[in-house]
Amino acid sequence: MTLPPRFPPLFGRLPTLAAPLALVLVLTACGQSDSDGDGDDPNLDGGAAEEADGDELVIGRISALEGAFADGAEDGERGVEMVLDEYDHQVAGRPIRTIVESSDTTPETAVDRARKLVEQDGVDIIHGPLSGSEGVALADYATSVPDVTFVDAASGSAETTLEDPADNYFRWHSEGAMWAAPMGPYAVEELGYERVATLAEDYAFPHSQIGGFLDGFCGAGGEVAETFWVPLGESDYSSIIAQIPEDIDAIYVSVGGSDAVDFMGQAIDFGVDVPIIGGSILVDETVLGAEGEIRDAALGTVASGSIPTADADIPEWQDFVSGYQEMHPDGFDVPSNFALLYYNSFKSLLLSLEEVDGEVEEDGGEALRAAMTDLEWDSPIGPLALNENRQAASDVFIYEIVEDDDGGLTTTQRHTAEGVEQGDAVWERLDDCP
Amino acid sequence: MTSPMVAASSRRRPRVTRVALGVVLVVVLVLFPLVVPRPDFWVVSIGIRGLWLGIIALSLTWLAKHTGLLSLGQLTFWGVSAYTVAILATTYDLSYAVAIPAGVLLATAVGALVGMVAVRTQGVYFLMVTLAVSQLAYFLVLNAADLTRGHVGISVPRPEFLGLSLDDRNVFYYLSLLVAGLLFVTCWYLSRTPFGLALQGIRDSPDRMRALGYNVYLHRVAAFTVSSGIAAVSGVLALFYNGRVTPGGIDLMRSIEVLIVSVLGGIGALAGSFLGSFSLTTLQNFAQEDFIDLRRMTLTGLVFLLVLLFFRGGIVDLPRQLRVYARSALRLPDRVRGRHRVGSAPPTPPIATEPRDDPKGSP
Repeated sequence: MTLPPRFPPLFGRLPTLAAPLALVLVLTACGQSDSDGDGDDPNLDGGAAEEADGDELVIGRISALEGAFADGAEDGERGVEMVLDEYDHQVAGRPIRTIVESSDTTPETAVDRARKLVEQDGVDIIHGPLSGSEGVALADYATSVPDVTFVDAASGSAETTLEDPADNYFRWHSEGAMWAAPMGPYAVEELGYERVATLAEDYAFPHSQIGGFLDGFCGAGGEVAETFWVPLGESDYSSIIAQIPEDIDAIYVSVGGSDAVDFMGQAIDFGVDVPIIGGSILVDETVLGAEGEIRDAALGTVASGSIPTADADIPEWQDFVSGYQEMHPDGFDVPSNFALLYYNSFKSLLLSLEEVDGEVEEDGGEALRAAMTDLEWDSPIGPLALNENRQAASDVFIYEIVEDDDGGLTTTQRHTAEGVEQGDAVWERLDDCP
Repeated sequence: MTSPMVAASSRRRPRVTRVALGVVLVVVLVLFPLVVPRPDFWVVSIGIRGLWLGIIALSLTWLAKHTGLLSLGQLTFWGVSAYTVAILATTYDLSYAVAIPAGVLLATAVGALVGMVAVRTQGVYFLMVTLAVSQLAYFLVLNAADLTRGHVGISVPRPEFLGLSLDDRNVFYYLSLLVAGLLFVTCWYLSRTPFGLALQGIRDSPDRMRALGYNVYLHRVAAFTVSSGIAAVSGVLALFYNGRVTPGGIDLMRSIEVLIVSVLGGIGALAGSFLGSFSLTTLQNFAQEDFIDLRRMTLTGLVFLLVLLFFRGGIVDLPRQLRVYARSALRLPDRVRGRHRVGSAPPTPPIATEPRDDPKGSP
């Protein structure tokens, strides 16, 4: 009878709500005031403009360290570290501090992180994001904060710089359609393929790759026998392969990751007897490291992409590769395209900051953006400069899968398409020549 | 002998504090935008996000509390309403006055349809069916690119009404607060209607309710429909909060996040949804400041585990849980001594004679 009363009905517990709520609020408030009082973080309080003591330069960064591209984003971070190392972590005498926020490749998260960086941390510059739809959303958000300068890290949607491009959003790399574009004329003129079928995953990135490829391919006189679209994550290609027409010269394939492995693995089995040519996501380490049937199918595949091969005869690229290998013995054997794209974009930012003596706060970043618009420099993959939409033109590389000395697979450089410009179309799903 | 008095007083005291606390809470929420530093961040990223996330968690909590059905599919209806509003407003150029009600209604109707199938199952099967539905919705919007623009999603402008624009953060905040408040009161009221009571009866003993003449199936479908309607409202708010809707908003991680919010706040109490949403939003925004290695998802997962292992009642239940732990910690020395007595061969008489710690033994 003197037992403690049983738990009252849940609503009787309402009074107890206050404690945790208060606790959370107090804790976060403390967290804030701690950093406020800390002389090391001048930009954490008030608009960065008034309170920065001119010393530290804070750069907000958004990277997809969670989700499907986490490995790629890790490698991108290595590229950024190379730049910071090159600059000894300072620009124009101001030490650089980066606040890295992790997104998960969804636009919602990317914008939430950006908002936090701008409105809570008071940064004037944001470097990021990684994936295409994040880039579209961030460029959209950029229009609402015109004083913040956005430098895209690696995202590859055409819309970002084509549809109402934001004045303060800069992209120093090509996008999906540009990476595929040189392959079209090359297939007709160099490889002699005049009639192809295409196979691609059914979402934005492959849409733009097929668009970019067919635009050039049909322009050079090629024709399309049939297009196949599969959902992302398709693992069974037997029925598609059975439908591939007999009278084609090659099949253009833009599937990536495990889908590419599945397709390549089934290609020989189910009777693909024409050469495979491919988009920039078809050939990766898993395909190159494969044995048996995949190996047979992959050998001889020609594809195009954003970075040169390890054996490419480009001195700046070779310097970059050896710099990467030296600094990151735990990284990949050869830097991925994310390492390179993050490196290029972040270095473009620091080069522009150097131009304006590291000054971004006082004029709302106007001088920085002007400097960036005018900037031209020689990156590891060739010269970079921006067009009127603040979108770079860059070299694109065509390579072939060959056997290396040890009998494994590797890629070798075949052709460099110089200064590929962005087209003027946002490609939707194509079923024939555009 | 004393127990009736104890019971009475313990029942009365919370009621007074409860009202006081409710008033304080309302005042805090109303004053929130006026007192926080950096309102651009706090009001928008914590306040508004906390409110719409809280509303969708409310839909889950209300359903779980009254029917015992735990759904992983609430984001389906959130997504249906957000996409419907976005498509009607952009592709078909309809005004929001038409698009918003249409979106909410369509999502609720879809909720009724899904409910007709889903509530035939229970427990983990119900969880799986609703999860499957939400994944279905995810891949549908991803692949129906002609309508939904696939990965990129649809951007919309924020609406204006009566000369007020949702671009103004305070207008948006107070509107969300008002909507959240209304839905909360509706849920609370529904719990006390014959319908709500019947639901709780069904939750506790469907067979007995069936014997009493209640249509168990229809009651469950109705409850599921109500909860999908609440989720639909959250979808509209979130659409305007993000300024866009994309498949990323309804992927598997988000579905799980909604469940985490409910469990974190306390799945047994409606207010827990909002406590959970504000806590999780704050946590996610500040988690990375200095611990980039401890990523957002990892941290969320750890907190979820902690709650499941040690604080099943969530934040709402935290004080009671802590009291229980404190009490058992206080008893620890006794127990250690007690065990020592059993373990060691020659019993030490003074302690052995004291039968102290045996709550189950009392009548």
